[in-house]
Amino acid sequence: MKITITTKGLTKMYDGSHGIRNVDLDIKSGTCFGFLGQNGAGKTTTIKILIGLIRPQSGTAVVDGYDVLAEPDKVRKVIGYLPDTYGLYDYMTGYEIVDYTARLHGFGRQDRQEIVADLLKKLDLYEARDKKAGQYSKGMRQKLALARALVNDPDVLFLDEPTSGLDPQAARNIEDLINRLKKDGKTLFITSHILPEVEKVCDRLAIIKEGTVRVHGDMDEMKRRHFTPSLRLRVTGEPAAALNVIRALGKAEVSDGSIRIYGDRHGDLDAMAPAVSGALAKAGIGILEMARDEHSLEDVYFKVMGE
Amino acid sequence: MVNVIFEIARKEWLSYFTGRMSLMRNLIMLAVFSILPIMQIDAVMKATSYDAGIVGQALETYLLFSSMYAVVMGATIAVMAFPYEKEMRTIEYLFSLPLKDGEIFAGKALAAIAAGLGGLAFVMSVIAGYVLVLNGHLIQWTASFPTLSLLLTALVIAPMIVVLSVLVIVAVSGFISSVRATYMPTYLIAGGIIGLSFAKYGLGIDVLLIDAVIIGVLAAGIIVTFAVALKTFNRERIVSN
Repeated sequence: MKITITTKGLTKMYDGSHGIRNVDLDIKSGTCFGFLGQNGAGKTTTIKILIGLIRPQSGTAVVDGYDVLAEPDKVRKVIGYLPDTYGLYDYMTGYEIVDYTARLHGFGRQDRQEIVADLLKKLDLYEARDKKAGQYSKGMRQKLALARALVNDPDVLFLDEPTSGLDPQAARNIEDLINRLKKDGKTLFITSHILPEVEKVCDRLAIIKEGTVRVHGDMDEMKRRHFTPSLRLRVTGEPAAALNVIRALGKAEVSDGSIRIYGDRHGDLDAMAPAVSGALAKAGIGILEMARDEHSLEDVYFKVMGE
Repeated sequence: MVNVIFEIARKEWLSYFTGRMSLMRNLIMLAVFSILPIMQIDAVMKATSYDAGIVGQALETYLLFSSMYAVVMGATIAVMAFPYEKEMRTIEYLFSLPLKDGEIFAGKALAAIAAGLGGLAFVMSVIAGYVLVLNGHLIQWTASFPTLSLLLTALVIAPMIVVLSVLVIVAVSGFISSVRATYMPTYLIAGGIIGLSFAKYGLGIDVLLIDAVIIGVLAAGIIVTFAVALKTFNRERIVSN
């Protein structure tokens, strides 16, 4: 699959301490990439470099085949950007804002009318098109900013905190939009603090801490890398008795009143479950609950952050 | 390119003229910069029995004073170029669009220059209308009118002051983050040139020579400011300032 965004050794330091250091990323075309980290970790700095807003001190970055440092104008033509601050002109109506962006992209009148109406309809803003952006709710403002970012039908979209501060319904609407964009084959680069949302929409991710990318890869692979797959088991009677039986089958321990049975791969656990239930039945121990231990992105995030 | 420059300028005008305080601010400024000159010229005309030569000199002086209205108007729009956009947090998105530095700079400057020149034409029309239309029948047309110096002042020097002050603001606004501080250089320049023009009849030097020097300085200032501003235009600095 084609690589749409590549960075190598990207470094941009402010005052010698803040910024990013040696950021290497490879983002394939058509994927939704989540870029996670605390405030000030370097997420926005990375986006700003990738859209040609600031220059790195060293390193290279290529977006959709264009060198960000040598051809920033070309990069800006193929990207859409949703800033974390929305950046809307409050005195303009929703229609005027999207139309203005289309004008700056060089679209003629007829194309503009079609594009603007189409985007506003897609984002459920058409009815409110003549209202000033300053009168829009937070969710509407976010959608308007997204509509503006889509004016040039970009191949690559940079979304900086797209659901930050939104109520659950508005956040869900943005999530749905992101999923639609994914289906349309867009490459999405998303920064967010809201991990469950990233987990729902992103296929790949990187976690940045103090300017350095700590992990980078496929979402499921990352979970496997940081957590050994395990089964959680609650039994009748003392867990210690069951533990003795289960240890003969594999590595296990008692934790929080439950038994955890570890495997090397998920496949092992699938094979192990019937063996465990059989062995326990033979020993006269009843099973109250047996489930695979699912680890969330949040678990991975905090593990990486704690390292 | 021209379209994009015009679109940026159009947005700046919209931004300025849809502001709630815009109309009020303009009316107050217009009153200050037209009523005061009219009162002064009126007093001069009465004191000198409506002598055309003196009326011409008074017009020259006070038309230039009234050009401060245009400078303030142009400056207010010019300040929106970067410091205001930064304050409103709209600058990053603008810079993420496929626009050339020159297009952004020219669009921002065009809005302020056109509005400033429009304001200048308006305030000068008010003053000249009062003097020449309402009181024209009283003026003793004994001296040549208008003088070359008056024409240069009204048609060349005043517009050039507006253009230079706007360009200076747009240029320095890339370096200064404070909206208020951005105004200062332009007021110093405009104030200095207007002060010199006020004093030119008392210096004992040929007024046309002074006019020529002022025009030369303004022209050089405009060219240098435009070139330096374009050369030093830096999105990163503007965003980070």
